[in-house]
Amino acid sequence: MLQTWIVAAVSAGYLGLLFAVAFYGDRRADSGRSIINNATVYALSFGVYATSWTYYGSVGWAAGAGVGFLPIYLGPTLMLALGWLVLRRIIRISHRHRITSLADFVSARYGKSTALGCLVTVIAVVGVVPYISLQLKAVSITFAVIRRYPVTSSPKLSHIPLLQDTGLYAALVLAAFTIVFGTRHLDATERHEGMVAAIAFESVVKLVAFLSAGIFVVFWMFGGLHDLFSRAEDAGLTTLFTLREQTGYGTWVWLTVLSMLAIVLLPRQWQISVVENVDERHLKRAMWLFPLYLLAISVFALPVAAAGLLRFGKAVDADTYVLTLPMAGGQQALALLVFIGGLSAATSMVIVETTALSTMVSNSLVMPLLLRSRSRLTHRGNLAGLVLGIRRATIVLVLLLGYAYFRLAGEQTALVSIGLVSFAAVAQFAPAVLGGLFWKGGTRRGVLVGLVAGFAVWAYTLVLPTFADAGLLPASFLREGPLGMGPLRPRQLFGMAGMDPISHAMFWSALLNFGGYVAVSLVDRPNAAERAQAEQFVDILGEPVRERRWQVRATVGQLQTLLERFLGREGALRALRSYPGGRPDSLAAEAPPELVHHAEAQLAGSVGTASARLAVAAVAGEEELGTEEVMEMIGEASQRVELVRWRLKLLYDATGGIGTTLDVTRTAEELTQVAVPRFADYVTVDLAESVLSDAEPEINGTGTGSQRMRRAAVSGIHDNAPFIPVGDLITYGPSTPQAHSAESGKAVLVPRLRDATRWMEVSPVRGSRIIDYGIHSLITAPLSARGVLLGVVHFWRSEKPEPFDQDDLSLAAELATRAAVSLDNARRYTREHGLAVALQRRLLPHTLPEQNAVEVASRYLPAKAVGGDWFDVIPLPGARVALVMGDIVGHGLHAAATMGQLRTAVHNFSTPLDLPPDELLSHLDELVTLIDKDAIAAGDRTTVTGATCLYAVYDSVAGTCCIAGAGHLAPALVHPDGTVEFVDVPSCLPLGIGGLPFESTELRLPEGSKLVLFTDGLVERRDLDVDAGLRLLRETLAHADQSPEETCDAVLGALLPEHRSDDIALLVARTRVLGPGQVAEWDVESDPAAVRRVRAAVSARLMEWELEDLVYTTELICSELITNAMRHATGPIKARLIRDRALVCEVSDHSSTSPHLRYAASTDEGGRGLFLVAQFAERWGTRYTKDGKVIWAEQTTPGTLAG
Amino acid sequence: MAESRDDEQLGLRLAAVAAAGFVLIVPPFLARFDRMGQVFGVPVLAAYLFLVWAIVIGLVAVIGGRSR
Repeated sequence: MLQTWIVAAVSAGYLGLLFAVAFYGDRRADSGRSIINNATVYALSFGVYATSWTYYGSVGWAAGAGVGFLPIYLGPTLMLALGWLVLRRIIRISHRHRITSLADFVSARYGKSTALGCLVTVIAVVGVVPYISLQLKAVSITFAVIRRYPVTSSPKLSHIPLLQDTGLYAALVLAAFTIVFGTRHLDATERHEGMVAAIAFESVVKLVAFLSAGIFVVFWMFGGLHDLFSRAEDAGLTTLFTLREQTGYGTWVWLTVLSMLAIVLLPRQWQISVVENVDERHLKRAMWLFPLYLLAISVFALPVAAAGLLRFGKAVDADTYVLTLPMAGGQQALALLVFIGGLSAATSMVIVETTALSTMVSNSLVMPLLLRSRSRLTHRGNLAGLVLGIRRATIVLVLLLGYAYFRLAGEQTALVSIGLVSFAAVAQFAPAVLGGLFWKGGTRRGVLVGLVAGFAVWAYTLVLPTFADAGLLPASFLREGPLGMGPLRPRQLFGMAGMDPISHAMFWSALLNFGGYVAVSLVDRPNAAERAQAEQFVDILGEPVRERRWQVRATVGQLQTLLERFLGREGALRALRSYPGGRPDSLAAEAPPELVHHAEAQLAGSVGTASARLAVAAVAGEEELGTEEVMEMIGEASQRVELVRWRLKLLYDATGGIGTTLDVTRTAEELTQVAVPRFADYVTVDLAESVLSDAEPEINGTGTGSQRMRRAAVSGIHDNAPFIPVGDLITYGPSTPQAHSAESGKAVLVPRLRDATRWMEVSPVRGSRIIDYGIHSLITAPLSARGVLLGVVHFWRSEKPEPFDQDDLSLAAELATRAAVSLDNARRYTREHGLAVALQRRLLPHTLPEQNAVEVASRYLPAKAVGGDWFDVIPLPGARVALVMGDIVGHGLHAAATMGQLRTAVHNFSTPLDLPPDELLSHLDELVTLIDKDAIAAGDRTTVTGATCLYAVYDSVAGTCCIAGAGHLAPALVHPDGTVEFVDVPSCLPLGIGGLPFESTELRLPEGSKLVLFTDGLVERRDLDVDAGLRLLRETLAHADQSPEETCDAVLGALLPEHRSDDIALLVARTRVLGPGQVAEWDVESDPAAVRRVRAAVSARLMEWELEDLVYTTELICSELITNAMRHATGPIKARLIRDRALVCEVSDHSSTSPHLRYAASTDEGGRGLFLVAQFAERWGTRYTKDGKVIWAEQTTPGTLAG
Repeated sequence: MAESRDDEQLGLRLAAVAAAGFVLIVPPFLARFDRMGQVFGVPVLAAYLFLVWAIVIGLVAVIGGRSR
């Protein structure tokens, strides 16, 4: 007998040591040097499985049934061998989804159901409380035994006054320990390093204590195993040797299965093996080290039982043999060690079990109910305190419940049967958990039905009989069934006799539970939430699948506040910082769905998946109305709607963002920018060569796979991805997905690039670099419009872990179609624009003709749209020049074509016909009217009406300029002294209106005057009205000494707008005057003798001009023309010689009869004059003046060519 | 991919060990040893069960330890 104070002091000392170990573990964890991040510690912490039941109970069981207790340890051995298949999945699922309890797991697996979480929690609490009471009972009894030895009979020992009962104090101390180390703080990983360290330590203590006792008993008290068992055999203890007498084989198998399930499904085992697991690789060592631990701790159970039976017989409760044998052997210190070992077995179990239960109760039972009933709760205060408070209250409550159970019902029952009842309770979770792990078809309702049925059978067949045994129910309840209904006897349900209670209960509960789960699941249709979670859970080892995203509106700030309420300020910041995506800019920004999901996951780690979902929903605005079913349906529907809305938004943005310009390459770039990063992490666009070079692509779709493509755009979240750079030529090999997509015209999905090789054939070296870069998924979509393949777009994923799926494929195809339409528009526009520009360039003069009348400079600046401005400089006979400036209203091909027509017409009217300006414009007006009529007749809606024109003829001999305008801006005239005026051209209507005649004005221009012709584009635009423009032009021109080229530059420099909407034409001409030395004029009387005189004068003048070679021909031409004039015309005749670039001989008269060339017959007397003239002159012609007409003939002077 | 194939292999090998262990500790193998008598000083049945147990643990340790 040991002094009570010694036992109490050592016990207190041991518990103090436990606190110290746990404290040390937490300190190490806080400083980042975890001691539980170790496979051996992990395996040892599994030892929490070995409770008082193992420590004391297995000896008691062995004493009664030999090796019958072994299934409890063989089962876990087998289950851990399956650990890589089962436990690892559970661990990975729990880590990925931040699941922190068994209830949470079941709830999360079946669509984050709150109801299932509650049910599992209730079953776990009800099932495990007796087990906790068993531990308290063991502490209480062993304390009494060690204190009151040699009184050993249990009835006497168990009647202990409440306040002297060690069990109560143990319960209170353990509650304190668990509160301190099990609910220290709330964080997302929910690991309790200090607690686990203490558990691993306790595992060592109980093993050492038990082995010490066993070795002492076998080798000191007896002469070894052989001696012990020989004596047992001699004593006729056959139960120690065989199984079939006490434990049926059926029971054996049931117990094996039951313990296989228990090692996974007991809340404390779940806590240790799943929640507290740091690294799933630790499982590899635990798979053999923990079974070895179990083997070691149970190896002496049978010998000790044999020793106890030989030593005490039935006098001592077999459950206490391991303690009483050392005491009987006089080893009090060893007895104390054994007691401490037993204490450690009990405390470790209680600590972990209550921690696990408190997490379940707070996360799966209380919080969801609070959040559901008062959703405003999430908007209030600090919820971390509330959650921890709930957990602490749960711990105290569970321990007190356990103690109460022990005081009320547990005293009569052996340790073993209480433990088995708990095993059977948690085994009810097996179909839900294991089924949910491997079978996607299991539904929420299936689990609900199975669990309720299994739990009901368990309660009826196992729990109620223990109440009956304890006298709380009449004994007839067991013998005759409730109200005498035989078939309902709890231990022979429906007459099923001949099984022990555990096997019987397991048979019925398994049948109903498993049967109900499967049957209802098969009949039921899982909703989308369940289907999504099923995918997540069952395919956990495959590539990560995208979880359903929150498609809700919540700001970053709201999320942070929500996290703060549950995790505290630090925790919330930590949680947000761990978000792998980009940091949100501001708290007011709308949180991306990924961030909301991340927040939910972080929260789930602290308060459970169902609670986290409710909490986020409360903030994010999903209304909590009606029953859970309705909620889930609405939530489901709204999520689908949100997904669709997200896709529409993307397409909407694509419509607005792609095709803002009519540039092909820019459009390709816009496509990449819209898709990155929302849809893909990288996007590359290849365009057909023909698209980039503005040619019409082959309509013929066959063989497009080998069509040459050029990389047109690359965009991504990082710039250094190893894609083929922009500008490179690409040829898709046959049978690559890229070629397949181009040929079939359908988008092609390559969900896992690593598994496929074909796509790499485009560029094998880059292909493997792309894989190495972390890019894992590809969609290739053709860009085709109007049946023509324009290019191919590739969407790549790297950062987003989930591969592209079928939904993404159709979205990609839709994006590509929209982009292709824009590309086609851009391509067609580019082609048309190119055509119009080419046409206009063809139509405008490239170089101005050479002439000496004026010195000209011109500028033409096309606008983006092709316009109808044109100008011309046309040399006219008689040292004159015509200056033309015109503008066709409108843009495009139509304007350019009309401009071409008008320009040609002006040429024809001016050169051969040499019409005066007003007449020329009249003809042009008629022509435009005609063109309009034609156009209208042809169904063309655009007409030329509104064309303006200015036509000026400068005569460098007379120094006069005749100007007529049709609705055109008047030209500016810069006098040689620098004064600027706008010529007062008679205002006339634009061309094509018809009706009024055109008028011209004649000016005398001193030599060196500058005439500036321009179109409205120069002086009129949106930000400059025409008057201001003209004023600006006037100021700019007021520099007399500039050459025409300089003037052009100055004008454009001053007036050129930044953004031209209209084209600009500018023509500057500086006048020259032919001096008297270059002109000779004679009046000719109407007398044949005058002809000779003129011939002589001409000859003399030509000799003066050193043009001897031309004397003969010029004399001939002059005499012929004068003779003609004398013969046919009236009025005074004048002859004139002009020496310019050519030698011009002119004869004017006052008649307006037109001469015409005749081919005289050999007998004709006359009619040969003009013929001769035509033969000798380079060119000849007639022009009409105010007074009559002028007939002129031009000869090339030596050294120059006639212009 | 290669990693997950190795993993699958490991899981299946260990499952085979578990299945073999289960078969060995339930009847009819169990019944063969369910008799009086001693081996190495311990009851035959206990000796058999502990032997099977030790072998299972050893196999799991070897198979699990070899895979890296």
